[in-house]
Amino acid sequence: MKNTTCLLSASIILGVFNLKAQDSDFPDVSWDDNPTERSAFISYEEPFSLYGYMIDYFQASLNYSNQRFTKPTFGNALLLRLKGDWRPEKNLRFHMEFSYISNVGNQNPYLLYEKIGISGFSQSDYPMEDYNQHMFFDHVWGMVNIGNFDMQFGKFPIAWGTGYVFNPTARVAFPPFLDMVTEDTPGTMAILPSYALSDRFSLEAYLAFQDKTRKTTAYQEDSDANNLPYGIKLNTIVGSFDMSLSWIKELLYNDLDYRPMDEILTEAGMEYIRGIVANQMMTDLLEDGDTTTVLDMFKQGAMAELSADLPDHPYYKRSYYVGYDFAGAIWDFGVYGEFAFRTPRDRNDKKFVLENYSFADNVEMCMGFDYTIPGIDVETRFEYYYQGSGAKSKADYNLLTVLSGERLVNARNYGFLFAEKTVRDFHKFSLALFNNLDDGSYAILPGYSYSPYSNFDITVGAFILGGSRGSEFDGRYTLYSVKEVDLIENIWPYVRLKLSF
Amino acid sequence: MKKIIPTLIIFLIALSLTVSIIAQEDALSIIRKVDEMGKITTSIAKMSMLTFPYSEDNTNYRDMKVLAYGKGDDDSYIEFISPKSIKGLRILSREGDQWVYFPSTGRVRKIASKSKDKSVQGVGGDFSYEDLGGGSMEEKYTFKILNSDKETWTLEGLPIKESAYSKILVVISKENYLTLKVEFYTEKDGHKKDLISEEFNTISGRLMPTRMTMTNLIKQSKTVVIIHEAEYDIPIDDKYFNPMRFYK
Repeated sequence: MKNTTCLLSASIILGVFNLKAQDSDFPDVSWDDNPTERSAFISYEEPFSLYGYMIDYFQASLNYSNQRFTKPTFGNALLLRLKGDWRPEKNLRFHMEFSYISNVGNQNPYLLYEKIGISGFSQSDYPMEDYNQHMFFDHVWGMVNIGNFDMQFGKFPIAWGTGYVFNPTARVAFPPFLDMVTEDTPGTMAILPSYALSDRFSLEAYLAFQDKTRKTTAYQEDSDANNLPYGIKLNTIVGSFDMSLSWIKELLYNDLDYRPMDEILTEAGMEYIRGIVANQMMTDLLEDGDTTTVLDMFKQGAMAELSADLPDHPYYKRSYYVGYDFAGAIWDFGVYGEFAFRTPRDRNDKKFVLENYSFADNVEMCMGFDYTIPGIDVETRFEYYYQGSGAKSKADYNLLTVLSGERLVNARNYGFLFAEKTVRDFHKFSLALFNNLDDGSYAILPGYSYSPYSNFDITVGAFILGGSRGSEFDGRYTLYSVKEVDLIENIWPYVRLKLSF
Repeated sequence: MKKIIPTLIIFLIALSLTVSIIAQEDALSIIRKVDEMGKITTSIAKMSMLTFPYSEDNTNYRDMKVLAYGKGDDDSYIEFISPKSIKGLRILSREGDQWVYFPSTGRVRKIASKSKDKSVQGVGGDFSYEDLGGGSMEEKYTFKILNSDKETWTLEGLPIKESAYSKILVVISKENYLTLKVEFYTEKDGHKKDLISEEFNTISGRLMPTRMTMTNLIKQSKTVVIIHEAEYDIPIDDKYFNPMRFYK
């Protein structure tokens, strides 16, 4: 009887649906959504996939001088990148990338900070912090397609520009530079709508919620609309050339750059000393059982902070750029160029002023070509980079500007040469030369990669750095006009293993 | 692994489609029939490409799996499924230009330089840009009948425009106008490459080869393309063929 009732109920329900389906305006719903478009989506594209790679990088660093090698240092970097794609519907996509990275030995950036005295604190004072490994989601984004309108939102790479090594119009995040571990452009929290006007014109824009330097501290000013970077770009295709014209607002946060090195060191040192004294005093009081005094000290500290004015953080730098890039072909050469012109603004970022504006100081550009040598199939590339805001002489090099992430390199003129030969898909030989054209210093990167399987390769190579004393890639810097520190060794042999899954 | 397969699926189809039997014909009408039957509006296919660095060693190879969408004679969109090292890489080929989307950097690159003889390494195997380029056979070569036997014609094609090849020889079935083999010759190397079509099956009502082997006689390497599934003349979103948003 119970079964009969269930069957009857099911028949009634089905009957209702059948009646609804007979309405002329009712959508034709079947088990396969949109069966007429089945070929273009349902059966071919993967609705879900999980994949990624891991890289293990082992590097030695040593100096060669006076015909002798110094004692090497060693380090290891491990990167796991786990990626996931979901396509819940035809016009919806979700993508995420999870990263685990561990840097030990000479691969740990804190060692360099300590070497030049800007770490500001002793790591042992923060036992709960992990200075060797990090886990984070780098890319987490969604994409929706509505007609010719697309919108990407979340945390994702915003990679504008046509340059290979430098991208003057990519002004929201720094790409990996002379880095054999990181392969992915860092994600930026943003929203990016785009509209294809035709198959030769499109308009896109982004509004980002992070500064380019990716500061790790939070201030009231972060919520100021004036501190949100954005960009607008018109893309077009003319003949065999792709071109784009853009307007970009860049935001940097760099408190290091505003203060001389010795001030930072003094301040950091004093803070460190004060911290030890305060902790020791409290420890002594607690050992004596005087918790009342310790609590009073905390209260006084809190009262002092509350009664004081909110601290001002004038370290935001806002710049506005007109950008232009192109990529196309001339004969068998692939040619490209990318330009960013910083518009003149007064020091307070209030208005545009032309007074004392130097065009040469405010242009950033790269131009280059790629070419495959016929017959021997050697792929070559050359790129020239000009950075108008760079230092005009070695004496003006500012290491902190590079470390803070405001600039990738110090000087104004650079050249990059690259050649690569693949032999029977398994063997790849490469040679790169990166040259500071102003001071003559250089980085040479020979490498050999062997891929016994499609998803595994091992690379053996080296960074060979050199130049005159005080040049950019020489690594010897004079700190405080007193002490010379050799920040980087000049030979870095490495082994890199990559497994994709 | 960062280069191009332009219009591969279209190329395969153009070389291989059926027509009814017609007896005595001249070279031009034969090639026109081969071209005519190769015309499609759209296509979509799941394909594997196996590259063998040594043509005699069938145990040593790389396997790539792609989704390939085609439109008209010249436009194609390819998305890599495997190997995982290049998963998500997308390539749009349109009117002789190519764009590559690199998912790791989020950047689209225009690939404009393409020496015609350049091998599409890593992805294209022994297929060069010219081998895979769109357009009809009639537009690219002038043909004459070199040989005719009971089952096949052998046509010699001389390039009309600038070409990496000094001539090609095309073997066509008299039964169904399928291209069975193409031999490629250059001034420098002589007989350089062979393209052989095999395993003919009917897909979406069309008889076509599902296995194509390009052998480079100079390098002693070969590349095999296998079509697992395919459909033709079906609706495909124009997004896939728009350089402004094929990667969106």
